[in-house]
Amino acid sequence: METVLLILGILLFTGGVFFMLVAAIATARLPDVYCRSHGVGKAMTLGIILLLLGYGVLVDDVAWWKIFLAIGFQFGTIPVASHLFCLVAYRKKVRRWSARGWVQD
Amino acid sequence: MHWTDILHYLGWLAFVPGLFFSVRRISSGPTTLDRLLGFDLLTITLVALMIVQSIHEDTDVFMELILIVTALGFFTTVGFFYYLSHLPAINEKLNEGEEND
Repeated sequence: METVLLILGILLFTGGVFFMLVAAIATARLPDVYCRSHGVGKAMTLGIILLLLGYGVLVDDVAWWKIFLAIGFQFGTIPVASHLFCLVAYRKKVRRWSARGWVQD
Repeated sequence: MHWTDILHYLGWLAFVPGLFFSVRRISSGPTTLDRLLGFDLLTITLVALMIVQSIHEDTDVFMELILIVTALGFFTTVGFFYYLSHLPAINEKLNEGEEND
């Protein structure tokens, strides 16, 4: 049981690290603010949730209700902020990137 | 080397480039929204580093700090969006430097 929990925690932690790295690379490489907020809003949420679950599995003396409180908080804040990026950029007519070049709506 | 040390090094090895990318996005983002997105990435990466350090030290004293830093980053972002939503539709703050891409 100890070994199963250890392997599960290491898998959750490694998945979280991978998705956080994907979000960082998306912020560095994608062309405009719509694509970047897409990358941050999805990969970052999944990565931080997997990291917090791995933290709850690996560390014994942390209460699970605190873990789920933090997960709910991240799940409520990161997609809202990512949606607000696209909303303000669309309302203010920031140019967006497409495969045929820059588009001004 | 214990297994928690491997997780510790893995986390720092993955999140220090995240910090570097976010600071570079803050310093050189073409629009104000890009800089704000870099700040958002910076706060979430700091929260992830706090989780890595908590696993390394086998403690839960950083749990309230995780909640507080998340709340500070989110409310800062929303407050700046409230400011940006009162700017006129096309201006130089939101569209600066896009021609260089």
